[in-house]
Amino acid sequence: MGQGQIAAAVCLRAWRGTLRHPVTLSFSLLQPLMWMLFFGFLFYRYRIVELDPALAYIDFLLPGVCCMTVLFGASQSGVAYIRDIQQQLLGRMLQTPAGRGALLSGKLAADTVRLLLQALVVFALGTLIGANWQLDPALLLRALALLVLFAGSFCAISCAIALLTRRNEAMAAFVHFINMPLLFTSSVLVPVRQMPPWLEHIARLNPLTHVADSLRAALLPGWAAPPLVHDVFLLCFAVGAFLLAYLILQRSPRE
Amino acid sequence: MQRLCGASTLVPLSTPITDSRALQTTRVSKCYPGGITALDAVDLEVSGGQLVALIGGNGAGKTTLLKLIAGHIRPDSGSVTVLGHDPAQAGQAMRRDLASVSQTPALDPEMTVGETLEFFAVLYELPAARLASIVADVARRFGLDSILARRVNACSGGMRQRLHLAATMLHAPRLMLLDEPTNNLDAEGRGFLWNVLLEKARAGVAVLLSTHDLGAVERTADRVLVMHQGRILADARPLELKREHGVPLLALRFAESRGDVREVQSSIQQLAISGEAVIREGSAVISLPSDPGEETRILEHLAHAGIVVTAATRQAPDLASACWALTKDLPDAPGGKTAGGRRGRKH
Repeated sequence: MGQGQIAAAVCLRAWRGTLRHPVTLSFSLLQPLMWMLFFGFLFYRYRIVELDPALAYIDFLLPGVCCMTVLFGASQSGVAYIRDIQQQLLGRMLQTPAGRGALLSGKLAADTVRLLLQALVVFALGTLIGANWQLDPALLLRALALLVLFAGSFCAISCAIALLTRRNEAMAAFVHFINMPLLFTSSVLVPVRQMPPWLEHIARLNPLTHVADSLRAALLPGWAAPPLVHDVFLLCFAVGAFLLAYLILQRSPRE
Repeated sequence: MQRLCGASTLVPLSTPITDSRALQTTRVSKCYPGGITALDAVDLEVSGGQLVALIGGNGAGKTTLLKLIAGHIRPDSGSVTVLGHDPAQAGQAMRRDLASVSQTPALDPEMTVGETLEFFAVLYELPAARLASIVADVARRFGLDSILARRVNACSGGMRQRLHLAATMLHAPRLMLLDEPTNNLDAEGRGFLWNVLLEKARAGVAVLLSTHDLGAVERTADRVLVMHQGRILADARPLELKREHGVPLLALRFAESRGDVREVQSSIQQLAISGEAVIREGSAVISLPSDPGEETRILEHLAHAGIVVTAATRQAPDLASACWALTKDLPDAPGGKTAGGRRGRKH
């Protein structure tokens, strides 16, 4: 039995859990929809300098909100580990010879796929409420690869926090600590060039800016694709986050 | 091999220790915060093919000892060797050969019984070609084959316990550690479990379990370890332990109308007998350690208190009375109970 099958079994278990509670999925879609509606109306007249004059703020906003949905979902990824810890199931799983890398990859794969599908639903909803886009397939592939790395990284960090703190309260604090600051220092709502200079520097380092602008490059004609060096940075970030979660899982109690 | 600390006589162990030992602890001690000594210099060896029962009251150190052997916690001092490994650092090789069953079932309530077994079969790296047949076989043996599609959260406590046990026996472990596995099981389930454990032991597996099911221990276990305050007081075959330390018992039956447990309890307390008393609705079993005149004194006292005894019979010593005798002169653990745990307890 290869480690791939173990990862697949863990992934399948996570997916069964998701499908048996579809209500939580629908709630997680409501929030991005509200962001789109509220900010879409609020910034209706807001002029994006880099954008084709034929496009509106909502067109700029939609790719950002899709990435935001991924971040908000990913930061909650560790909650399932807390539940497993409370049911003594995590320790039980760690008593088996199954490789920790396979256990973690299976979970991260399940969550990443779920988050991409959620982002797709948000994208469809955004299109329904009037956002326009024009697809560049090559740039979309790049943006999707970056979104996978982005989702995986934040899921891994969330799992690491869950495994380290083992408490729901700590998890909730982490989710709030990470979501809002990352959102407001990113280009999800406002392009970096239209930010005050001090914020622009921070926003350019924010991985959320990078995935949002990559997705925009794939969907908005004339939007400049971000430099490739940022992709390398995101890849290193993802590897680091995975290793962190892996090492913490390896040291987690087996009871 | 003789091993006894604290008590006055030595209890011989007839089974010779062979090289097939699955686990060994050498002067293992463990303290919990607050100065509670959970284990005090415990020496223990268990060989393949042995079914060894740890008995003793709550807080005696049974669970701590099992957790230490499974590598869930580390000892403060002393050494533990499990299947040739240090369990606290052991990797996949040891986990492949070990089954560790916790007191409470560790299951996903959202999964079905069948999904749970398949999930753990994959985690135990069973060969893909035989996975389905192994799962079906284990499910049938544990009486779960008719509820494979049922969600765990819809299962009774007994069913969950069966599933919990089944999921730890999917692979072929060489050492099984079980912490009170008979919890939540009815008489039939307990009988079944003891048979499974005996079968495993006869197939060469080393089985170490903690339990309060002393009747089954008497019938089934190869060795009994009596624990009290973090120490192993005796290590012997059940029959030997009974012969060496067991105390004759007096079984009483009360008339229906006067069978109130509290009344009988307070009446027996007034007696200040030196033995222990297990009092149930309508009956009591009192151990009689030494004085033959004690029986007459008890019966006269109860008659005086207006409690009608309809039958009084002498019974042969049992394992519980041997436990009681071994620990009666030792101080109780703070907040714990006497080993054997029966004194004055209502049933």
